[in-house]
Amino acid sequence: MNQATVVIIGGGATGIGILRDLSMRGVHAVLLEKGGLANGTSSRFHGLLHSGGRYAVGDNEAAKECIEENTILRRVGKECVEETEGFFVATKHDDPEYARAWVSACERAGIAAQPVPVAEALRLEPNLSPNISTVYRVPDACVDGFRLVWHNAVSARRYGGTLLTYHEATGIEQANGRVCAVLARNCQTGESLRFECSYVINAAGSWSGQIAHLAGLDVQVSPDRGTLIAFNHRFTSRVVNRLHKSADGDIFVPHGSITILGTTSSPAPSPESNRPSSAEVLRLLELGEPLFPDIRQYRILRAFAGTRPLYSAGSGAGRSASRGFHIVDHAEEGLHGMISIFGGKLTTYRLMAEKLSDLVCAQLGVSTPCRTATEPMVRPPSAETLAKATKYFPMHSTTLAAHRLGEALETVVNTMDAEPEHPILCECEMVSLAEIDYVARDPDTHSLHDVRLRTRMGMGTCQGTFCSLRAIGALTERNVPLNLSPTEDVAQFLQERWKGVRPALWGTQMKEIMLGRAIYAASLNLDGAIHEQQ
Amino acid sequence: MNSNSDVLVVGSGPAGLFAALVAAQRGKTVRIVTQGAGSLAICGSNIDVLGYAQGQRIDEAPWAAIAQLAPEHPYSLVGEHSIRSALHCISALCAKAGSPLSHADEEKNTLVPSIVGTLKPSWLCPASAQGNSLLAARRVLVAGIEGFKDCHPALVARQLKRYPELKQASFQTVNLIMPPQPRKRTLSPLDVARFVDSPEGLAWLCRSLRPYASTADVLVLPPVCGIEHSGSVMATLGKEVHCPVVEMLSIPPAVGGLRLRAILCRELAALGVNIVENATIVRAETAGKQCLALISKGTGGERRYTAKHIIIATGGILGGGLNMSPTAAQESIFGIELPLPEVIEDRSQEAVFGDHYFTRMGVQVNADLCPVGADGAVLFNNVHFVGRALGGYDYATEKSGLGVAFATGWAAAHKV
Repeated sequence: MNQATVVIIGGGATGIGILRDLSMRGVHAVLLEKGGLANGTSSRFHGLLHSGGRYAVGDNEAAKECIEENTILRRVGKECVEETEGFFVATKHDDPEYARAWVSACERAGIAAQPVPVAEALRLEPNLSPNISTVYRVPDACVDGFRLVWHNAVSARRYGGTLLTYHEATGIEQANGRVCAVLARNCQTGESLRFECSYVINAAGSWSGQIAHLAGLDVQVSPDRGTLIAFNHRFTSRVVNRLHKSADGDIFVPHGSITILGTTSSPAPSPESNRPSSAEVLRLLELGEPLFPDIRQYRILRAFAGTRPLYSAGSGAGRSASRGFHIVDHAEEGLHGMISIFGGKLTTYRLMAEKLSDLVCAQLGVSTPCRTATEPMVRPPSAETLAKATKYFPMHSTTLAAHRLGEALETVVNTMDAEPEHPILCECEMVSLAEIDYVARDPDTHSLHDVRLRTRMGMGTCQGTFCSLRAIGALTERNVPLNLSPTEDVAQFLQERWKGVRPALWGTQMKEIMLGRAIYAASLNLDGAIHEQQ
Repeated sequence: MNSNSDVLVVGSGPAGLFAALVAAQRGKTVRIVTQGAGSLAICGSNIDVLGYAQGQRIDEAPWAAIAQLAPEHPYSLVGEHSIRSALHCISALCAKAGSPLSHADEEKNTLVPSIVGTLKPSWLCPASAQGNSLLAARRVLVAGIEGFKDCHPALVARQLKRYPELKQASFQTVNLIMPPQPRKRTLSPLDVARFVDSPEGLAWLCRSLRPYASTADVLVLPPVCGIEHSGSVMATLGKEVHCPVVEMLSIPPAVGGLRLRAILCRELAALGVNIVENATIVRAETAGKQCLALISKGTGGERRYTAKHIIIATGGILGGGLNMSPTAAQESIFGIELPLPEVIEDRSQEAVFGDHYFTRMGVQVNADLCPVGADGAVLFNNVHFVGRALGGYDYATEKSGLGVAFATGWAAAHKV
């Protein structure tokens, strides 16, 4: 029998944020996620930590929330944020009237928007089109959604929170108008579990309609699909937004060595609808071209898609539906202890968690205040560990590894200290064997795919062509258990990469696919081995 | 500046080098113009002819399956005689160079192990890749080299055990320690193979392997048994170690392919064939159904090459012989349009190793390997396409890369 005060359903930024917040206030909480951490929308977006500029004209309240949360996250979650700043750029074809309205809306929301002379903007971002007419600088930043979720999870665990990935909620039991338990299935073993609880928090994002349905509730959450493109290089050092009424394909976000262009918006048949189409990719290129005229020559690493949870309490859909968030206490509908959180955006995940936790704590009579706005999320590695790490990493990679791992860097560096060789397995993203070993041994890691999300291994230029094979070999050599056989694990990894390139099967990215086929099929016969090994 | 020859070959992968060599052997003056090193820098030295057809592994000799291939398959176009002649020719060449190729069994494809512990059906194998000694063994030693990122003996052993063919075998693993070498990068099989080319390196390898000869029936190694002298390295290992050695197929940098490349290039030099490197063909001069000249751009600016016959061995998408945009696919020198399904998703399948259209995309040719248009009419009478620039086959899944390269190279050289 499992017991908790609160069961949270959904392991994206919102759910994990709530788990951490409640755990920090001493409330016993368990989180169930049916896939890996952040496997839904929190790892399938552009990674823009909004300054709020994008919402200033259309939804000034949301813009205010953004700039406040943006400021907080830079402080408490700096390991997940790259402070690049952002440009809002208008072309000669964009309405100058909108720019004027935007400037005053930013002022109202408290967003510092400073004009930048076009010549200066082109000096700073030489790949921008010379045909731009107006540029403003705003405090946009880049955020690694997966890392954010992971660090929240590590912190929540430290405060006693329990996190169960690959556990799907299958039922919500109620008695006398109150929830009393959540039924779940361990997706790895098939085992059925029951968690007695007083509260159920539905934080399943695009899936929250389905979760509400488990409790017999009917809510309107429409998944809205957004497709994005990741390019092979960092062609902009800053976030670049087009200064016009928010639309598709008008955000460019640099991440590490790559750049992401987003986003499309179209109603999705289901929350799982995350296969990008070639039509969407071509449309994004067309829309991106006015700001970056050479964009069609850039190599595409992959396209990917996620679904936004748009909460439509009756009216509005797509981009015009509210990006603000809504907390619904289903006590109003006669079911006590069941609370859903709908909508929202990653930038404001912390605020959403705070408001929801406030509500739960008020009902529980817990008076401990929220501390997530002030307490840093990550415990940094010691100065001594950092100094030691520079023996094995170049300076820049030391910082990257420290940001990914926090204080766990010490374990990784100690492993390196104890061994004669310290290979970097993923040369594109500079990920060491020691780090891959450490992450692979985590109980929440089950496959190479999980390792990829946490370490960024295989996310760079080679897209796993070389490092996936190395990693599986090294992990086998070191007796690190994974769920799948090596052949299946590498094949699954390649399948996942293929899904991202298939809708962009042309140009230079196609050469990379052919190289992968030359290695994995022609040389190593992985395709045959899948059927022949037992 | 103008250069003239009987035959101009564009590309220096296996198909180009071999076509040039056969043409030169037949008394033609030959020039090779090439942009890069070609695919021998990424492939192995065993010659796959046909390992799979309709998704089924071919365990017997490939000839019966070859006879069943579709008419547009390059093997069907050149015929069994050309394939056999080409293989005979490359075998003779390798034997002359001291690295003979052979079949363990004339009736069967050979299963060769790889560095990820998979087995691949292949046909002509050098002495270092005779997979049969692995399949016959009861006690297998898998040796890696300390410091290799890409070869892990425990993985190889664990994976090989999953084959029914090797269920009864017992495995032991070891990582050999190479003497410290001055180096600035991670050790690769290429570094070790170069070391083993030296007397000191060869002595080290013999010394390292000898202790295992008594406890194993076969020694499985990454491809480290020399590059320039791989033939004599294998002969010495045979005399000194007293246990069969099998090299695993590996990933780039490719030791095996570079061995073949060295053999081909030495022979080409002996035949007086000139190779112009770092030169990209930028356009063709044509008149009716004749190609008059190709213009290259390289370090010395533009150059014009004329020849009676032109062999195009520029490879597929990876080699740069074919290009694809969202709306069109083209051969890269003459701009020959390749038919393409309009919807991008129709060009491939959802499964990564599925039966994709794009993997068989290439130039359509007649029996003389001259390009033909959509209506079947010849485009150029004196231009012949060889290797992966050709359509109609997916070398990666059917395991026919070097087989098609050599067979079409041989056939084209006999059309000039």
